Amino acid sequence: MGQSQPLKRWPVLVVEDEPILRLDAISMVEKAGFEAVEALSSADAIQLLEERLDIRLVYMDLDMPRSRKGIEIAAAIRKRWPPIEIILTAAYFTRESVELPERAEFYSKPIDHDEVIAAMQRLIEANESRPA
Amino acid sequence: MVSNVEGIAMGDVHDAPRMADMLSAFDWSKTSLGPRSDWPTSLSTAVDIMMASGHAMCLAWGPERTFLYNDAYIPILGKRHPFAFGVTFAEAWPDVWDEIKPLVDKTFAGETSTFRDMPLLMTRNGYPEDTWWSFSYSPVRGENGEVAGLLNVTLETTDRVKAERDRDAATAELQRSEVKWRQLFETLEEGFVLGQVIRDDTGQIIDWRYEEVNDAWYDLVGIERGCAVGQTIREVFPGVEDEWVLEFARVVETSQAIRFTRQVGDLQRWYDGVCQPAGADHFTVLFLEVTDRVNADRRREALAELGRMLTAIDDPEDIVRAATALIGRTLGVGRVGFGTVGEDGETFVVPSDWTAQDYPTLAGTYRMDDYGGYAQDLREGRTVIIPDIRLDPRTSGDTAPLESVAVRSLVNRPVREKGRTVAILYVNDGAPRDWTPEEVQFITDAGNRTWIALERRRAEKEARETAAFLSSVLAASTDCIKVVELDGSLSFMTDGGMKVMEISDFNTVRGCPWPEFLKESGPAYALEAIEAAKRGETTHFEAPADTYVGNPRHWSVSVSPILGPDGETARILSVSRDHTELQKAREQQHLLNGELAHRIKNTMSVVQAIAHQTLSKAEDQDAVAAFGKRLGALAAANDVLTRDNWSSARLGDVARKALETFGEDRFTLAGPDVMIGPRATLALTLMLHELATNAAKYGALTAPEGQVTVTWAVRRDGDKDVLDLSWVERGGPAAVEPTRKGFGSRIIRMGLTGSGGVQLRYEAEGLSVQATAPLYQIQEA
Repeated sequence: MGQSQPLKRWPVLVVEDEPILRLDAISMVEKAGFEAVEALSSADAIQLLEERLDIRLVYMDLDMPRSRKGIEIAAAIRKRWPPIEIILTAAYFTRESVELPERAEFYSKPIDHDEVIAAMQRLIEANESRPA
Repeated sequence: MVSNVEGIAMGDVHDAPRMADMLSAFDWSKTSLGPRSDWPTSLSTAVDIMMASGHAMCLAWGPERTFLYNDAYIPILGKRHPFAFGVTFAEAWPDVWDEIKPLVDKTFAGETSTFRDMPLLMTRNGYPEDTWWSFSYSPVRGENGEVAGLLNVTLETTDRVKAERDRDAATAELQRSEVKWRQLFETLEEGFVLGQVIRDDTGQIIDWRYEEVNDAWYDLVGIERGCAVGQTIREVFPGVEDEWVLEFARVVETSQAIRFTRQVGDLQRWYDGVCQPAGADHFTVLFLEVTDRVNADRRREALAELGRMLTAIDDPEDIVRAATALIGRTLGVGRVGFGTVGEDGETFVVPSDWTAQDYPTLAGTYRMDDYGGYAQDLREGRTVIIPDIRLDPRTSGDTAPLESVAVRSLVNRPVREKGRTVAILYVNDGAPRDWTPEEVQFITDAGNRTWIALERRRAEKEARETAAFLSSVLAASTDCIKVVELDGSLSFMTDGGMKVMEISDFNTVRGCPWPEFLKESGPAYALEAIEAAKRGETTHFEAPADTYVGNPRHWSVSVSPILGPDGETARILSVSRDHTELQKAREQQHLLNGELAHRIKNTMSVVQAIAHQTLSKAEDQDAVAAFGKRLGALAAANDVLTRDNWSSARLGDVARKALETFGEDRFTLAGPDVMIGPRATLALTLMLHELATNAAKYGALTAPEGQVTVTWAVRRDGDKDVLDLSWVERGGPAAVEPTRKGFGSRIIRMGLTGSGGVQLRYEAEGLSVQATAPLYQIQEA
């Protein structure tokens, strides 16, 4: 796709409470060439991020109703782990209706697989080349 | 004594020598009388009598007519005294001797002469004065019976003469004056009557007789000259009002003059008069005809009275009734009515009219043309004045209709408004009548005033009803209707408005700035709306505002200018409707729509995920990708529709959303603001998605410089509006018609409404597509 050389199989955290969509997201992550780490809720996600310090990208659904507002979680992640890239998706929200954390990207559901895969690769690549 | 004699008294009588003394002292021996002792008895006796008398006397005695006189005579002599004493008569009165000698001689011949009122200018009180004297020369017999002397007895008659002269002068003056007054009497413009009252057996005055009457009087009352003298007033004017007898009787009985202004009998004439007692059951009356003045006064008073009545009376019918009665009584006519003329200029409606006794009313509805040939004059606003309908060409043809309702003469005064005769004031009389210009003017004035009053009443009534109606409408409204001044301050609020705003006393908010009642964007909207209203525009906005007691409400506010007389915005009308419930419903609906959109898109995501997972091993992954992208396009359309609750969407928004993911810089979108329905939104989205997908695969978007122009326009086609939308690719490779027509092609060919109307041209410059559909189909739900 967009990369000039194969990227490392970085772990990507998929935060999605809808099982089928989570499966679909995992397959997208793998298709992009990364290792998928699953989280079923935002609380899960925070715990995983605390444990897996190698996670470079979070792909998160903002619509999860049973937890804190997705966009707040995203902001918290950005604040607590600044180097981690964030891709957000939502069916309820539109790109215009959310205030994205810095460097975060948003794709409205239903997502365009090609688009999101390209975004994952682009962000990881940019992340790798940024001084740690 | 004669007229030109002048007598001057010698100083004070008491200082002058007493004649008795002079008689004694005088040396008579030197006279022809001889010494006193020798005087005959007759002489002594005559002298004694004379000296003792208080009347002026003198005595001429003897052949020499020796002159003697008494004290009373001295003033007559003047400065001749005391020289004249004892001289001859001729010496005493030398200057008149020639004149009196014949008298003296006659007296000595035995005759007595008497003179009356002889004038004598006499200075006896320090100044010359005219005096008159009567005297007699009588002979005095001597002892032998011969005439020995002459006794002159003198009586002053000055007072009597003067009195008689005064009387004569007065008499002459009286005569002159009588002539003068007689002339005046005859030439007087005022009528003059000298009358004598006639009493019955009990002495009661019951009538009076014309003794003297001047020509002016005959002319004034219109009776042949000379016909009244000798007759009584009751004979001259049968049925004359009793006042004419009673009042003059009172003048005679009380000797008190009276003044009066009165009408005489049937003559319709008015007189100012003065009646004065003239003694012995006589009186004089001076008349001046003041009919014109009285009538002018009456008309003027009537107009003033009319003005008062018109102000005081409210009911239009009462106004007409009062006005016509006043006009009728003032003019002394048979009938007065006020009718209105219909807009057709033909129907004439008289609600009621005023009539004198025995006149039938004309109340009713008429056709103007039924009443003679003057209807056209009335329609055109000309006052119709007919002294006698039998003589006027407009009515003489057939006088029966008018005469049958006792109309012989008439004045009809049209009232005009906006070039049309709207009402007519008619004044009729059963007898021919010469209408004076003043009377016609009066009718005109009265008619106009009455009409104006009626119109004003009508307008007031309408205004009252309108005000009451508007007030009830305003009160019934649950909208908060306010008047806002140009500076934004509140100046009025309806009762209904206060109720919904929960304001108990408007004074608590009067003058407060209205925009500050609103919340959120409300104040800004309100200020914009005020500015727009000042420009004459009406605007509308929605904003939340708490009621006066703090209950939150959402308002739909309409703001419009209230124009002043100059056409400029004078004030601002703000009507706020409580949309709280509506707003809640809307919010709920919005929430539900949002939720629905979320679920739809979520479901789409699940469908997409299932498809991906199901087809992950399929060979045609492009088809899987295409499916995902079409689903994405559908979701995009869903987003656009969600914004307006799935009712409609802007064509521009739909196109932009559909093409968003293909690179915004590659498209040029242009067209008017057209709303399209949800079905057209889906169709257009899918169509544009397919076109863009194709362009990205084979068309203009494959080239870096390639561009797509999407334009649309609404045009009139016959009796309906049609939307044209064009897709033009340029800057890419030449377009080639695909050999295989898949689902995408079919979506494109379905067009804007799913039923075609699409033309594709594969040109060397690139693909161009024209899609056309009736606007109403595109806009339907």
